[in-house]
Amino acid sequence: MSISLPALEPLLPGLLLVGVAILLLMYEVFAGQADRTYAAHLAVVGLGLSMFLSLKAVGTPRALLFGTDLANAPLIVDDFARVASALVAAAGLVAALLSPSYAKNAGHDHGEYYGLILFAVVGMMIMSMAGDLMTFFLGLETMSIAVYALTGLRAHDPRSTEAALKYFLMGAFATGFLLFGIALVYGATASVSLATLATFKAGSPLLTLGIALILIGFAFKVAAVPFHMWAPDVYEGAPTPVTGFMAVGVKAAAFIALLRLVHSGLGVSAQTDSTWIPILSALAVLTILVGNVLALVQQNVKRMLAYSSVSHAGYLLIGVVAAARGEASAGSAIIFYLTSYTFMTLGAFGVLTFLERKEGGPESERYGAFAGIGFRHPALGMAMSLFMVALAGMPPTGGFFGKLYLFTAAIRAEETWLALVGIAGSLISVYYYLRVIVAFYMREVPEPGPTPTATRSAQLTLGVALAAFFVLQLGLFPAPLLALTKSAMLSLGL
Amino acid sequence: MGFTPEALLFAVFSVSSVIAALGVVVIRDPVKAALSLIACFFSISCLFVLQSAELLAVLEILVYAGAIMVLFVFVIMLVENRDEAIVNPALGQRLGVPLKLAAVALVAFALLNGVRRAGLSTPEDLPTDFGSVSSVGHEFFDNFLFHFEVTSVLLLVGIVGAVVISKRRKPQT
Amino acid sequence: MSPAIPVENYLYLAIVLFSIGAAGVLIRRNAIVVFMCIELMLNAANLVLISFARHHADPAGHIYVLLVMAVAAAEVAVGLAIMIAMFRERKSIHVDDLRDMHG
Repeated sequence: MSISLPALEPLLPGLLLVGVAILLLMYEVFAGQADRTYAAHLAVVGLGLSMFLSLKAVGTPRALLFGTDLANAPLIVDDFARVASALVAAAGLVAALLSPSYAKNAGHDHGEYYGLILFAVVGMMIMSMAGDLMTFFLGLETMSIAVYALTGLRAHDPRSTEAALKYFLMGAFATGFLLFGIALVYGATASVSLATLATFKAGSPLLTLGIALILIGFAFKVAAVPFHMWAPDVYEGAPTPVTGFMAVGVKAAAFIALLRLVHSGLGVSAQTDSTWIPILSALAVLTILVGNVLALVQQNVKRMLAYSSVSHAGYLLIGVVAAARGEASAGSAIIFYLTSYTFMTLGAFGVLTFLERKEGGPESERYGAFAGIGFRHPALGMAMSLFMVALAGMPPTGGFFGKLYLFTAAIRAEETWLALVGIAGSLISVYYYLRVIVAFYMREVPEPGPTPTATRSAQLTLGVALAAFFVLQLGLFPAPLLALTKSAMLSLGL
Repeated sequence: MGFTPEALLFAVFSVSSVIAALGVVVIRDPVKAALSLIACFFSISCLFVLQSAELLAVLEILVYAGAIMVLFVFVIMLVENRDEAIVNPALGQRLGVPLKLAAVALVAFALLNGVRRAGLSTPEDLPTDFGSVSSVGHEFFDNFLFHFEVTSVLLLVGIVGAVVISKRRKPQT
Repeated sequence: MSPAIPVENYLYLAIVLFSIGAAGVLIRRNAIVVFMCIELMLNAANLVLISFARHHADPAGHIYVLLVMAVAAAEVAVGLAIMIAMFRERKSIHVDDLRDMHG
């Protein structure tokens, strides 16, 4: 087998990112004491270009790389993979925009920081293209190892290292389960290819157990209850832009890979084996309820957003249940939800980045620390209100349509009760999201008033503005993205 | 099953690997636990040989017992030499232990039962060079070129990550 | 050559090793020992892969083990770097001492 250069063209978005990342590492060698904002700009340009290339290729036929058919190709570049790649590149792009001033403040403004973000995005892209479980595993590890390192970068806050250690131990533990699951699936099917997996009917206990262990690994990664314990500490301790990136990127990549798995092996076995739907449903319900209830009682906004991110994983699991039932619209609903969730969450963490104080510390992240910000910085107040309204799932935002499509898909799949649990969870969430808005517009400003503008920068403003724009855009004109997600799901054979 | 030399070897190395693995969990001193883990890796690599995976057996020793565990022992020496109580003496923590062990036992039982019911067919006949350097190498570079390339990126990420974590600068004032 | 040991025996052994590793992760307090238990779990998975490679006479299984070794090496590099950073700040790498954050 020989690889000619044109054959790699479908991989261009990913290869470009690897190239830019290596460039960033080299840049660091020669940069000396120079300002590292250029590194951020380079990363943003690379991610933007990669996103553009992915989207431009949508609609072209499926490409199989390094193999001749679905059963032996490690990479499947179809519209699904292209849309997913564009999504994770967008997440990386906004995160990189949020970073420069924060990184300078927190002492990690070096080229490697952006290089690691790019490598994590490459890992996510590989996950979305994986045609077999081993490729998926390698992509997942590339992403995870980069994110472990990113989590521990805040030099002046011991919470950061602690978060990195917790995330690392939990992630490596999950890797153990995932790998044992993959090994059992390999034993049951004599292959790790998803296409081969799809030809096996349920009934083999090895296959069932293997998929169960793989699902446990997934549940850890997306912080589904009862595998969510690490999430709040890690979200609190990580650098704020990284928290945003982790909340959306890791979750998006995991759910997208899960969707591909569901549309091959798991979907087939779910329709013939009665154990999967109840297990996934229970996971979804627990995740929604526990995530929302624990988010209610938090006093730290970053921790609240962590638990709320747990509950969003629960809503997405409803979509996975619907997809496993064979509901065609569930997949595109999940991608739509992930896209709007990406922008609103990154936007919210962007506003928090704005308000980060020079000395950092947990006190600056409490609700009370944000008192009166809405009056003194009206634009920030408006933006945060928009993101909170979107996270709560109210119109006119992308969050509303995301939930609408997701719960409609669940009802179509005859899982009405799951949709009801989702709606109940959303209602609970309105309380704690509104609480942030109330804090922003609280009258009593404590004396001396907070001076939370240490990390203001043009890039940060642009990042938050971009996120706000897309949240509104998806809320007012959801049709273009919906069409895109539908073509993505069509390329999976639906 | 007759009492063949292979069965004897399997019995010896499976028992020694389990004992060594238990050692990792119950030995207090991290250095001794690491040595126990090396013994466990050694037993596992012997089990690899029994299954005609000669190259992987060598690599198991070189990579795991050699490179990785040396790094572990090095870090243990670097950071700490105080003994720990294996289980946190706090009552709440101690009460959690049986619960955790029960959860693990449940998973183990499900897995063991699954394998028992799996009804695996008789194994395929092996080609004579199965597991040799040349057969594994051909397989790797004929069919797993992409995995090979991704692995290089993965290792780069690992190196960069380790460097970045350890060279963190103090924040500018 | 016909194997004298059924593949099930290797699988039982791998499951036992995997469970010992998982139990160790859950009950041990020293982060380095916890990480060693995770390595034990990965090795149990490797044993399963090798056993099935033998069972199916499929050399691909060997490649998977090779890839897992590379992944483990990269993980060890980052993980131990994090632990050293932790020790520099806290003079302790006990999981119980990770108590700075509360919900």
